[in-house]
Amino acid sequence: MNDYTISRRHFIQGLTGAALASQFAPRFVFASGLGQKKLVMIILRGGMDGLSALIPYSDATYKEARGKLAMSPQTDGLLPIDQTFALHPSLKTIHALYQNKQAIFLHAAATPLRSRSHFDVQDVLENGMDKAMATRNGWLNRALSTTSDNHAIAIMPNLPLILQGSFPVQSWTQSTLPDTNQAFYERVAAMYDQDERFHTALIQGMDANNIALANEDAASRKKRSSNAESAAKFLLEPQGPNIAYLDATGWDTHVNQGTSNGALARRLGELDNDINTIKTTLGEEWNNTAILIASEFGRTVRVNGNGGTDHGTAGLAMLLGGAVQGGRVIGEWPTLALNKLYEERDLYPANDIRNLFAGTLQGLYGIDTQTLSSTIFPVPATLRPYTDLIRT
Amino acid sequence: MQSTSDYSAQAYHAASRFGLGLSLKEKEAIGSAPLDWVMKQTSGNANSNKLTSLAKEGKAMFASTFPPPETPEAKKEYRKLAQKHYVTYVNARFEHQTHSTTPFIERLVNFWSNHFALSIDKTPMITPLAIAFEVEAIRPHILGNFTDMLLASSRHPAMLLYLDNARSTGPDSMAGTRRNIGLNENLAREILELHTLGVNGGYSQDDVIALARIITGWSLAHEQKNVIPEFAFNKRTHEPGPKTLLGRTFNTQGEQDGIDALTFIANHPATARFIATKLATHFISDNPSPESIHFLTQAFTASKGNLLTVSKALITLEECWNTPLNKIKTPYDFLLSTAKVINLPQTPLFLPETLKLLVQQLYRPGSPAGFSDMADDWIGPDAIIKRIQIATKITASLPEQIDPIVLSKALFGSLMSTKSYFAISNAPSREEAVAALLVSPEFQKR
Repeated sequence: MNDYTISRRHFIQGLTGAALASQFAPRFVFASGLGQKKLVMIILRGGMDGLSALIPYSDATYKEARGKLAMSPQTDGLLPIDQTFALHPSLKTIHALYQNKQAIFLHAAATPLRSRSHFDVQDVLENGMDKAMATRNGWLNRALSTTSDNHAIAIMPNLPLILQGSFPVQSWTQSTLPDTNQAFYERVAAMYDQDERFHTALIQGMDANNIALANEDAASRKKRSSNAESAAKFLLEPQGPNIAYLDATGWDTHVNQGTSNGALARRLGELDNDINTIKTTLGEEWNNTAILIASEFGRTVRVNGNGGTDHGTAGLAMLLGGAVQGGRVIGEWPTLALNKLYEERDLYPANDIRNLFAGTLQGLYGIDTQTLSSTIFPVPATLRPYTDLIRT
Repeated sequence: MQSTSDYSAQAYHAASRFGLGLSLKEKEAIGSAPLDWVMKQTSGNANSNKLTSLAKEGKAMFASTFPPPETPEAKKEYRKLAQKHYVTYVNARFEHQTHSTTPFIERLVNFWSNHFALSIDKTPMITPLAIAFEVEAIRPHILGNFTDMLLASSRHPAMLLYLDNARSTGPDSMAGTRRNIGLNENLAREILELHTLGVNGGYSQDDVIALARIITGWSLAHEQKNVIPEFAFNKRTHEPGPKTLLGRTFNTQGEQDGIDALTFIANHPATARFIATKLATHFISDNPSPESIHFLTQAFTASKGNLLTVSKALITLEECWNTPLNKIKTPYDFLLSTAKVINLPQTPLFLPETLKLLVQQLYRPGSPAGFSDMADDWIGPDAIIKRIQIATKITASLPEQIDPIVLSKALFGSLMSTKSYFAISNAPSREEAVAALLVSPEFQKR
């Protein structure tokens, strides 16, 4: 019996008249607690240009290959991490994390699907398989089913594919609507008893709504907190979820991408800011937290006709956090030499991103390799989860 | 399994699955002949004088800002104007669709507009053009030919700007070799992936590049103050030489290549199948049967993409009729079908802000794939809470003459479950009862 059933029973007790301490008493009764590891999963949709985020500035072909998109340490304020790579100047928080050994980078990472369609590759990034539409559930939902005390929330109006599936997951967004009275929700829940999809969605929604309302006071209702801050707040809730999902769009930089300034630089700055917000809001709990960041693909090595880049293949993934055993770049770096590129245009997909996902799940939640390869990432691949990603 | 032998149930189904919701007036019009009611509408058209003139106004406003505003103040001023126009248009369009006597055609407008999706969140400057797009490229071809709609879409200034084709330059063209700027694949890719063959239609990266080369030069007329931008072929940016797309070579060296190429892919067998699948998904179920897809594919192929023929075939398809309450209403469907039975708050910002909360703002799907048509993507925990909150807000002030149970029975008949009737009749107030009706599983589906 999983904790969702316990939650539902408490809810039914509420219906039959057992007095609730307040109208907004949180309904979570998850057996989590402080000490349990937290995960923030962030998907950057559109294909983030990894080569501009973590720049192989000393690669022999870099300058010539990237043309007017090339950046140099001297003139562009790059933040070097080692002899090979430097971070984009907008990624100051992430750079500090790396220096504190709280960041791991996986360059040349890709899903197993060789396609440049956003929607297909996003599907595969989220379903953890090797084909789009292979399942209508995501790998993170499957992971939740294999453990007994992890719960997730998506800071979005609807669940992204990565969290869709049989394990119940909440979603939540800020609302500017006045809340409905509790009795009405309960009446609707009874009406929804005949329809599983609606009923499940409503119960989860009510739970998340109650936590958020309990946390809010008049003053904070006025100030809109960012999604990153909301995510961190949910993770701090003692009986709340320990996994949060954030979505970030706007990475499909086909036109006028810019270098140290410009469209991509701004986006990277916003991402960096969100990481900072999460770290600050979590306080002590940062030490128990990992943030996993991935995008469906990277972008072409060469600039296109409009100062931007087109859909590529391999990109950059990051694992950040106080729980991370970091300060390194993992995986193989294929270089930008022309004969090492994929189809002579993209960074070669040397590293299967699933190994990073699997290694993170294993490090945080102790899920064994057998379960990872039979249930969570079941498509034939010799799954080799990266080890030692998380501090014990 | 609900019986659909009573007229209320059949009327709800016909009006919701094919139309945009059931009003009591429409129920009378449907009477005992729901299929006829839908079929009759196919002799109508999608023209709206009001929307056409609003679109014209918008384009004129867009043209009057050339050269495009540079200073932050000028940009802000323009955005305010564009936003005001957008709000006016969204409300006018909603009003038109709510009262239309050919709601089947309006549903098709929503379908095809979403198929050839634009998103103004990327470039809010083109908002007035995006409005014009639906009026100029979609409505005229609703029951016409798919090839014509594809060409109208691919040549419309809004689409050329949204998917960056206006600046795509053939590397070997006159402009390309002189200024070292290049090809942009975006529009070509989305035409193949989203508008015609579909992602599994069997095209390759080489085909994307070939099509991108073929449509270089498909651009806008040179921007002049107060001149409304229209399509213009720019031969200086057109890539010379033959191009081979899906096995066929195009070599007339000019604008005609693009027209021929798009006509060719519009009539490709994979396109017929892709469109048939989308229509079956929209009008039957999230998982339509292979038979229904096959039937619609045949209709498309046999008529060479005649959308009147295909729409009629759809109406006669039994599976569209024997699967009531099979599809979830999108937020737009939910609000519009509500407006058909009770008054929504009349403030101009109610509609755009509510659609924003429910993540379905008009012309802002966030990607060229448009809004999803699947239950999984619309019914999530937060979405349900928001729909309930919105139903509460809408019913906060009700006119005296609404009787919730009478209304529910009139709309649904035997299609509504005992549990839902129970919840509605046991609500402590009329307002809550109507809110319960609006969020009932039955009303949330079509």
